[in-house]
Amino acid sequence: MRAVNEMARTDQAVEREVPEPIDPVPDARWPQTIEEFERLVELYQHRLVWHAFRRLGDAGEAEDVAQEVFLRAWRERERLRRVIRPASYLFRMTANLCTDRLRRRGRILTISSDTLLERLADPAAPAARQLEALEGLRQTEALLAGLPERQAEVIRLHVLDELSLAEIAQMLRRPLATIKSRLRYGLIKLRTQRSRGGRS
Amino acid sequence: MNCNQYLHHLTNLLGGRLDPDWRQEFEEHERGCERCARTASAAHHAITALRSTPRIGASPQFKDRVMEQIRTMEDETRPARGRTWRMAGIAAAACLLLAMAGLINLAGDSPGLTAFGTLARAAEVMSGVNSVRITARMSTRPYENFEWIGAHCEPIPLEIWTEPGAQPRWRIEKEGRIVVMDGEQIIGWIKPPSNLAYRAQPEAGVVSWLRPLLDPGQLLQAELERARQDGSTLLLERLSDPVGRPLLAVSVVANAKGDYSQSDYARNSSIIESDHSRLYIFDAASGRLEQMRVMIETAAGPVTVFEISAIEYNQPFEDNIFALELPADVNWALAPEALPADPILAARTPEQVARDFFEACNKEDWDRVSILFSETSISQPIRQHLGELEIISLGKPFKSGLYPGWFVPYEIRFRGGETKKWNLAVRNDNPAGRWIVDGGI
Repeated sequence: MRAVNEMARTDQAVEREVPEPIDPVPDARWPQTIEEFERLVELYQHRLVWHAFRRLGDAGEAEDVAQEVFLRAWRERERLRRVIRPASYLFRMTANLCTDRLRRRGRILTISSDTLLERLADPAAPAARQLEALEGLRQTEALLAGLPERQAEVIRLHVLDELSLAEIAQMLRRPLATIKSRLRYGLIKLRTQRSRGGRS
Repeated sequence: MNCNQYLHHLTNLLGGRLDPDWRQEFEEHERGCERCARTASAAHHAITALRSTPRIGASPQFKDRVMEQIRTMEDETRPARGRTWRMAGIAAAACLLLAMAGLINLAGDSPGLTAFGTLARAAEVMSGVNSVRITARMSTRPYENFEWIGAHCEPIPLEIWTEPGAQPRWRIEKEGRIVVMDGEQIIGWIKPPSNLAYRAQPEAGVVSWLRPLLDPGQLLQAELERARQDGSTLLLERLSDPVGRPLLAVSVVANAKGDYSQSDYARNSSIIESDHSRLYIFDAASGRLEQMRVMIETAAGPVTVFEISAIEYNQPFEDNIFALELPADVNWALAPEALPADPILAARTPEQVARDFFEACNKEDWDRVSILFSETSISQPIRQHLGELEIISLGKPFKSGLYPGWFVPYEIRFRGGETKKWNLAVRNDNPAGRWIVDGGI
């Protein structure tokens, strides 16, 4: 507990040092025509499905969520005209819909060995590619297991989902400085784990 | 460059935004500082490992499937031609609704306009709003749940604030109850004398029939889906308001849902348990919903039970509108999923549960009453009201309408001597399968 408290105080101190950047793409606009929207789908389809898969652990469900995200994004295109970072909005909506599904299931997925074994034992087991991805995620989680969840999430979003730090800041509705400090302290923590011969 | 600056630039480097001017200093610091070098090495190691994770992407058909749905949605928002709708039985109710709304019916053909197309356009328009403030009147009682209606009750004010979207927030308020969704969870409060609060997950059916109103775009979308799937009866009327502004009205007629084979007790106790008409009035120019009315069919004739008198769109709300401040002495209802297992209570019959409850009130065993009510404690006014009551008779339990539990007829005598004859609602549809007393007092 002590370490966590100290980290929280340091986080706040760093937040004050780094000012918010001015958005570099003020003229970008949300796609309004079917043709423009098709390009958006093309651009983000794989990343959103991957993000949903990371959270749900099921490729079919991940596609359902990504599809719902795109349909909502189309229906709300007028309201979203002023959105300048589509990735932040699309990933946030994907994350929210995944959370809704997990709540309905009554649990939050953690890619544990047990989950993996359950899936392997399932007679209707998903394709090998999906199992391979689940195993990869399990190893990822083992690597990040010693980190506070908020720091681990920033690393996942940045490295696995390829979101920029500014996009993560907007997605999580936190100042960019907070995201940077979470990444920074996450990395320091990884160093500490590694030097102790830990999980990495 | 010091260690702090190094770490700052390390995050920039990982974010692909390291200024080339800094690179040399960055590398120099790394060579001279073992600690920072180890941090960088650990970061690179972790990132390389994470990046090598095998990935899942969208299937080859995914994009075509999404775009096909979007094109279908687009087609549906254009005026549909040549579609016919089942009209039998609706004209009288719809005309009456329109007359009551004080609007002028513009008789004549409406080329290119259909009820379906009007709803589709409105659903599209409404899905783009950021916030909605609804002022309505509902025939209900102040302390009853938000679903309950009584055709004989005086209409009371009901107010709704909502921010629809992927993470919606909303607030519904009437004289005796408030319920708020703050973006994370639902918190409700039944004001004193009950002084009872409850928490629920966002997807819980807490406000039941009113729920669709919290996202008018989704409400109209749902009407469209129903029209497609079960051929709901729709009627379109062209109207104007008293100053000549053109309006479009769509009426939907629906039959009561639920099973009434044992008893009609729950019929007309909620809108969906009533034969009713829903009237939506849209501004013809903007396509936005302006009014809504619901009229139920009763033995005495049609009665309006719900009426929206004003809707405001995209108005900013006070910051605290989606927060609920509760009094310090509030009692909490246990969420159904949090009820502890109680094999003895689970094995009871509905009649035994009713008897247990009334006997606990008679003995003023408030611990037992709170278990049966699934509340943390019982407020003083309720204790005063129910203490020492006596059972005169209990009848045969029955089911009615959509209620998942049972109704147990009872007659009791309060300590002041007055008697009451009514039906106690008991249910056991919680994960523990144990009975609770749900209402009817």
